[in-house]
Amino acid sequence: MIPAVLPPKDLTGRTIDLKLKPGWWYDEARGVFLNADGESFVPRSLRRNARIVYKVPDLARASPQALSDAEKDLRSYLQVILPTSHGTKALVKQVQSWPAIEEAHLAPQISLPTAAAAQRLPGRAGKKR
Amino acid sequence: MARKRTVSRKKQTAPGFTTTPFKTPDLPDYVVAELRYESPVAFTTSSFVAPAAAENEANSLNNVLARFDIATVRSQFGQRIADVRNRIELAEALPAEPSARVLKAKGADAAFRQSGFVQIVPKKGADAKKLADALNRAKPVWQAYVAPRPVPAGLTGSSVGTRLFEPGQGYLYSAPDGIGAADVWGLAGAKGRSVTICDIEGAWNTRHEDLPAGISLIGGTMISDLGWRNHGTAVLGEMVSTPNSKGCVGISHEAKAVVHSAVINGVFNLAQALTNAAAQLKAGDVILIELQATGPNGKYVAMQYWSDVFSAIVAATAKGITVVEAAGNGNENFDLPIFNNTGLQKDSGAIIVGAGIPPANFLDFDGSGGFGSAYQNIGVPRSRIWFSNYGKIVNVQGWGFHVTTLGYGDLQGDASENKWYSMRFSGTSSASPIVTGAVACIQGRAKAKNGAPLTPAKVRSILMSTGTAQVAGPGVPLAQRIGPQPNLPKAMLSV
Repeated sequence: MIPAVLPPKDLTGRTIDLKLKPGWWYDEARGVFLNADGESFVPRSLRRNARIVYKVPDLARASPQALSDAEKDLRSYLQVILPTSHGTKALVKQVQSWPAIEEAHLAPQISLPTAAAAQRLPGRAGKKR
Repeated sequence: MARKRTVSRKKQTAPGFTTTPFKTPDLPDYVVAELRYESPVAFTTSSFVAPAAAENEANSLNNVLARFDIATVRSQFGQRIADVRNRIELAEALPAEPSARVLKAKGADAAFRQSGFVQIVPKKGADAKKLADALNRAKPVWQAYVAPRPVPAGLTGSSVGTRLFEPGQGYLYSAPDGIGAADVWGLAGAKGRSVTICDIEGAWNTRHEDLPAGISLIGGTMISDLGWRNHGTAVLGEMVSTPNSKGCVGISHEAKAVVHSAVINGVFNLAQALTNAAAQLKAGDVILIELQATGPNGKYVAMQYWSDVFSAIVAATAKGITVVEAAGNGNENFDLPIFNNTGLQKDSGAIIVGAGIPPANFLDFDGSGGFGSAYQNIGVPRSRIWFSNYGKIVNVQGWGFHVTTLGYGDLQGDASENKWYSMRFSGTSSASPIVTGAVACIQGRAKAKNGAPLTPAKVRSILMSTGTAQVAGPGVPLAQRIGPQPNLPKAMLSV
């Protein structure tokens, strides 16, 4: 038994993490990827209600001159947030083919690094669950 | 509605041995009268009865009852009136003050002996003593007394107030068993004063009775899940539970705690949580990452495996904020080739924490809720616990099992989860707050002594160079590195 406490299901399986290629950025208002050479890409294959957001929006909006190398790196990460987990894995391959994208993968399956909360004594707090 | 009687016993006698006020229902005082074996007297719900030959004996008792306002007469052992009447025939056959041998010979069993115990309840409790005295003067009565009013014989518990669980927090103790937190609390600042700790995970019960007021959620959305809430509460308890006569005592209980959920926009986004937390903290403060995720081998790994998280940690440590990170419970070797060029083989600046075997290196009476069999040995103290990740980037260790703290309710349950306590918090989850608390103690001391905090790199270096060394155990050689366990008294010499 590997100790872990998983999160509620609605928090998992519906996010794709992606990283922009150097020189690309994402215009959240217009829903379009752009680069300094004037190229653009509109992710039309996304299903309704899907969103693309910067992972660290404050840094994405900040002037890069004021940022450390690590903060500049953080500007290039985005998330595709889907309404449900259905079809997420298949969508990863599509996202990986987008011209603006350096890498894309399912968001990590996060959990808590402890034993599942099954250690209560009968008749005590365990009854309340 | 019954009134409650409050009896106060607030004196503390020793750590963990306290008595606090308790309440008992206002039960009436009553008298227990034990009839002589040889008295052929029985009773109804209001009076004593006897055959004609022993009428005087019954009358003597009824005369006593007549002097008081009696609520009821009944068997002390709950025998039925018909059964009590059966005692008369055997009593008539007994000599005065019969010996045990005679009683046995006559067939006087336990039921017969118990039939002579009469419970007499006066309507006024104040009459009980006088009633007992009067009955003691009556010939058919062997002895009569006011029934004792029992009080809880144990130490205070969940029904009457929380006990002090500090004696169970062995990680506070001196090295090599613990990190020596209690040994350094006398140093100015060494309780974590003027240091802020931000715990990043998903849920907390900030209303727990043993947490300081004012722990605020500085970002993200709280997960509504009891398991996650217990976890966050347990983590906070190790570090900042309040020092008083109940519950636990946090390693760095003068530090300020804040919390940040990793859930943002309805999904996990640890990079944003780290960046946002770092923006609200200052140099000398501490961030704790209490999360793990599934890596390429299908095992849990530390969060800095993912490059955005790695960059966010680098950015936070560059601001002078010490980041403490759970190594994860995947039994994974971070030095494998599959992790080349990933965050598991690079220095993010974080202090990465593995889980070690605690001094109490055995499971408890029920196998600790599924870990194994009862009282099973789990290894050599300070060796790598079997599920802890390990590798060159793992810097220090903390207890990975038997950590007494808040939440869960296996140590103390209650109708309110605000009073739940655990003695089984585990994993790199329980190990990491031990190290985080140690960092807060060091930084608080550095600020008090030097007027400025140490750099995160210096804090990590001190913890690693002064800690109590990792130990090898069966199947867990030192090559499976999790590092030493912090030793604060030694560490403070380098501050």
